[in-house]
Amino acid sequence: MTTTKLCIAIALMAAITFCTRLFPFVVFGRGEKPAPIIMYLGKYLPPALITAIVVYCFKDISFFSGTHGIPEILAAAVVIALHYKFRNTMLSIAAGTILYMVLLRI
Amino acid sequence: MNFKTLKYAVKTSMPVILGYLPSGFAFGLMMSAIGESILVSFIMAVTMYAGAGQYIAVDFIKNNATFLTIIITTFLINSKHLFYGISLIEKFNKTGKKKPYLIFALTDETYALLTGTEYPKDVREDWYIFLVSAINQLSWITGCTLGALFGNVVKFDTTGLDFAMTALFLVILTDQTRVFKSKIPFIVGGLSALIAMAVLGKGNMLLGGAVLSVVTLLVLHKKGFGKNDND
Repeated sequence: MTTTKLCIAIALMAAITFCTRLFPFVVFGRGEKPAPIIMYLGKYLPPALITAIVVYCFKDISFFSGTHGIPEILAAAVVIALHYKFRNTMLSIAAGTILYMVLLRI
Repeated sequence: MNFKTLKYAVKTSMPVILGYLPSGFAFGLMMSAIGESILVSFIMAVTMYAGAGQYIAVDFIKNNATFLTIIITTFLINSKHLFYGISLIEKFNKTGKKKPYLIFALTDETYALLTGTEYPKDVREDWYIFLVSAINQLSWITGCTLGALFGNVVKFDTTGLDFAMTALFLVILTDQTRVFKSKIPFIVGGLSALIAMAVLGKGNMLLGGAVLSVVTLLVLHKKGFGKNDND
């Protein structure tokens, strides 16, 4: 990414992030209730998107060559298992990432 | 503002500080791993101040994503914020000139602190809210900057470090599976991403998957999904 594009991208991402945080204060600031369809999307879109992003994170795995996706699958399983058990975000992320980095070097 | 207010704010913020320092550090490390300077990590922490948003931004920068992908994906990732503020409208309306910053700094974790913890009784509420918000962001900026600094000074083989992003989203996903009884939103998102990858290729799968998720959820709603609280 060129420096110019990087600057524009950061400015855009910052502006969009702020606007989403500002939205409820502008639109519902006087006590109006949001439309049901908006409430519905607000509830169910986040889990759908997070799942889509997780799939995206695994897009470069090739099951039939290289490491056959084994480091990714093992590290992901460790992240999920640890997080189910301990609910400690930093522990889950650190353990999974370190395991993944180790597995790539074996 | 007085020392007592600051003391309370630090005490309330402690769990978030302990979370933001290392997760910001990981962001800074990933940024230095793709060759970006400390300044860029710092500026992103100051202006964007978003965990998931900044992690996915590393991927945008690395893969030179199109503006369309950056805009739509950033918007949709943050779409949950579209309603976050509702329960804080009254509180924030009493904060005067601090209000714009409080809205800017309303992350998941700050929201959780401001809505889920008891406020100290004998301090001014507006300053308490402001200090909690500012302390949280300062710890995020510190984490991001230190991570970038460390990655730029201590040169080591960072291969595989980008798994931290995958791990973060797996953690969020695990948390969400506990909240939602229905599997439908997860299936919709997963299939949408796979279909988008097959049809549009890896470069546009995030954008395509996000848009397809919105459309599919709307169609399912028409057919009755999400109309009662058991979903």
